[in-house]
Amino acid sequence: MKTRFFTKIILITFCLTLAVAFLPATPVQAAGDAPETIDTRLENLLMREKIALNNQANRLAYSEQVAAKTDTFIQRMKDRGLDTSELEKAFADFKEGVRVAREYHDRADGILAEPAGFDENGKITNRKLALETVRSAGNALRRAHLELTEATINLRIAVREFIEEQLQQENKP
Amino acid sequence: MKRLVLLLLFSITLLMAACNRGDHLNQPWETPAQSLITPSAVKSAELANASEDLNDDTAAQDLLELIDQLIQANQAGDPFNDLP
Repeated sequence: MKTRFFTKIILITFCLTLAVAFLPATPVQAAGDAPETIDTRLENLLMREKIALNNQANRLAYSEQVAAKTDTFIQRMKDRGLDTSELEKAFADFKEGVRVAREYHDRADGILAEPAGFDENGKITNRKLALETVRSAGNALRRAHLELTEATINLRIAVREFIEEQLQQENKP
Repeated sequence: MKRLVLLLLFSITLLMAACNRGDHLNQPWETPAQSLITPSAVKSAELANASEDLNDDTAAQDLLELIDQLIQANQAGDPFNDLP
């Protein structure tokens, strides 16, 4: 009787723990924290945009390496006497995409270099201006992100198609 | 014996619960000085299998790997979908 009771207790606890384990977790807030104000949110967004700007600059620099390598690859394929016209077209589109992404990135860089509505420590001085700063910098970063992502994916598709096409040509009897 | 098995299951579940909590403590932002060569956790199946069906031309493979790394870095980038 005692054993059954103990088993039931263990089973119920097990089921409860299992349910808790798979519940979506909510962000943890330290006890005693005041509710997040609009100013704090804007200050956090500014910090987030500065981090994203820095990482995006790294990716843009990396895209230059990709461009250099693609250029070398196209030359090698040309030297082999292969038709690289489609690949060259895709490469031109990639370079254009990177150029546009860099334009948006530079715009965000300009806004975040001296963010209007914030002091030098990233604290709000004018909420309305700060909101506009965060919005415009975020939009520019977003556009740059989309341009670079799309350009890179399209280049990959083109390179892959080129290689597969060459394979098919080689395998033809 | 039955108790032992139940206790074991209970301990495993507690561990799973602890791991699940820990995952969500990470910031939803990008981290500074993000490495471009670290594979992103977000990698589509298309990308994972893409290189396997290609030939062993090292120049082509190198180029595809380089492009893949940039794609992965982009995927890890902040898309700012939640701007105010």
